[in-house]
Amino acid sequence: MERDLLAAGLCLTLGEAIYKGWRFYGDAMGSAPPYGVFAVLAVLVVFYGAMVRPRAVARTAPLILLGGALALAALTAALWNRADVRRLLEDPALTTEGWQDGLWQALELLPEMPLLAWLGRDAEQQRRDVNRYVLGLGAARWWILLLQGLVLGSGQIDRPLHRLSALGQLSVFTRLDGLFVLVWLTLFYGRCLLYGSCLARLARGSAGRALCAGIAGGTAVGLYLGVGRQWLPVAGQFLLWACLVWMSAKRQPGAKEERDEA
Amino acid sequence: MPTPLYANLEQNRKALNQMFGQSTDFYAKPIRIRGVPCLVCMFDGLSNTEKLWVILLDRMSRAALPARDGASLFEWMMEETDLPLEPDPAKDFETVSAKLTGGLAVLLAEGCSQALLLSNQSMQGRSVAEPSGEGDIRGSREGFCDLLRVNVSLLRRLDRAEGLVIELFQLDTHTRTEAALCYDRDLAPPELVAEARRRLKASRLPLVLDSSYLAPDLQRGQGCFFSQVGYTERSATACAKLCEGKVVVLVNGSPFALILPYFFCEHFQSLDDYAQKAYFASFVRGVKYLAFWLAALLPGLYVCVAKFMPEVFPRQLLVRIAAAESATPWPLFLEMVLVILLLEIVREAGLRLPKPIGHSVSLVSALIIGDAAIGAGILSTPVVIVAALTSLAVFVLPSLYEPLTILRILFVLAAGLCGPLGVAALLVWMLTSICGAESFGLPHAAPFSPWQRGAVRDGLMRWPWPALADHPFTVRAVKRGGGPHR
Repeated sequence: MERDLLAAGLCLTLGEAIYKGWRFYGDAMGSAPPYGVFAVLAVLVVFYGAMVRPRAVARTAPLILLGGALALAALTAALWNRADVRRLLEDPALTTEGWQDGLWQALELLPEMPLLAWLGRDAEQQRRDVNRYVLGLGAARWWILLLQGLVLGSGQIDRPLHRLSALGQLSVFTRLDGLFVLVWLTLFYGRCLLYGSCLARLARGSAGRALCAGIAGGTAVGLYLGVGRQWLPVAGQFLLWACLVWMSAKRQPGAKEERDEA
Repeated sequence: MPTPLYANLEQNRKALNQMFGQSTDFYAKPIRIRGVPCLVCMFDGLSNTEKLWVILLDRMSRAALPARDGASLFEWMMEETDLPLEPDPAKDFETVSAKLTGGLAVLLAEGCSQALLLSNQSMQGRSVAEPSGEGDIRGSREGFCDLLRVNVSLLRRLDRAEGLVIELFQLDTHTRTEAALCYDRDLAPPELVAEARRRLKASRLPLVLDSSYLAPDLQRGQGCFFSQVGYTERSATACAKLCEGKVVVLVNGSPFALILPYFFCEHFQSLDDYAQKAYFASFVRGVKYLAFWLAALLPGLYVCVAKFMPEVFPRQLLVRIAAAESATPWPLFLEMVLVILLLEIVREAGLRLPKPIGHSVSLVSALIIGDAAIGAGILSTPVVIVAALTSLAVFVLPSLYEPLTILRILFVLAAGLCGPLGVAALLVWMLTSICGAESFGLPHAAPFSPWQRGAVRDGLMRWPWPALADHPFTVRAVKRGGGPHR
């Protein structure tokens, strides 16, 4: 049952990630590409992740994160002189709202951790590597959140990363928002790779994988068309959180006999 | 099932004539040694006739030979003389055929169903010279040649450890090509050697004229762009790999040795790195890594930025680029692909042309592509500059030439058609392809992924020799989480 719940939650989350990614990309670049092109490329990466072994994803993740870390470090260095703690106190309500929003965004990654328990059943090192990947993504989100608050203050809600990049002008390039979008895209595709690898392990046979592809694609299209925008993302998160809680409960002493038998 | 030799000399002669009689270079002469009818066979051009007569007839004519028949003659020559004979005689026609085509002479005697094998090879071949590729400033100048035995001797001369093992065998091909599996039994993991041997012997190619023919059989995952098998022309490099516990495969007729397993970071290492100062070697390593990213990404990134994110360029540069691009009739990414293909045509022409007229290619290409095409507005200067810079970057890493050439075209197409979406997707695919590949069960991207200390010690940089000597590397260390340092 955990496998099916995980797969269903993962498919819904994947569809949502594609839709939100398309919106973010359009906002950052000023013009959105055709949704079909964006979704097809993302799905192709998911399929590629399904074809390669989880070990390949686990080994690729640190390199992708390294690109993100370098970009964040460059952005931090460029904005350090502009950071001011007092901006966090300009509008406490807005800042709190921004932090809450960022908190929920970061917590979205947490339910994906149960995926790693399934992935890593036979390879402890794989699970540790992918854990680091997911934790790294979460840490990157929180760092961006902090930069937003320190530099933009109350302006952090509206296209914060774009604004941060525009402010962080380095000597070589006039603006870096395009390059940071490139880094974001790489991180996004890395996440798609992880989704694909997990789905391949969770779905039973080709029929199961086709069903997962259908659910993920249907979610992505539905969100684009405006269908289920209120409940589809919540449903995906609910399923993943349910798996997290279920698997945590299984580790309780009362469930120890069940684990020993397994 | 091998066909045993006959005791009757005439039957043996007829069988050999049936096998090789139609070849004019097959030499078979009946002789008598102390009254015993014998037959000498060899291939003209592979064996030395003069040496044979000096060894055989001259010495036999002066020897006190108590032979009465072929069997006793055979036994006497094998046990009592100091003739240059192979330790094991031939007992079947398949072995006789293999030894004849290997340059040995075969002596058959009446009444004896075994043949003596005389080592009088005298094959003409390319001499040991400095290899054309793998240029180095310091280090050995010797390179492998085309003869397997000479290449084996080069290895043996450099690595005098008693653990060095050379296994010679014939590949299962129509041409019966000889190959050698070389390893140090004290350093190479036995399972690695066994797996390499198994894959070599399982190869079912119709012919093997170069060691690279065996590469697909030796590596898994044909979808990976990057080869998991290494090549080297330098005997010193091959010796260094043997000392790391790797397996080296030599093939007769090929001056390139195969190295198994092979890691991605080894494309950026050279023999010179260990002969120079550590700080300079680290600097050169950094330049090579930069060249790799330039070669793979620069044309695609240029197209992506110029077409989809022009605001990234500084204003003055943007104006110049826009003016140059507006004067050409092609879309930017088509123009870039065209220039890359033209450069490949020039390179291929320069490679295939006879050397006396090879210089003309450089002149023609420089004038036509570099000057006339730009002046006529067919190509733009920034595109030609980017493509030329990329080509130079590729030449820094000759072992990665093939994948980088295709990858840069793919990145240009992805950038032109999908912009940053395509570039990022292809980048993720490339990284996953490298990181997911394995060479004989070892991660191809080691020591970078999974990250190991060797990535800093002898990967991105090169530490001084005392530090490297404290942690001598073998392939076994990679299995335990260490990293390659050569």
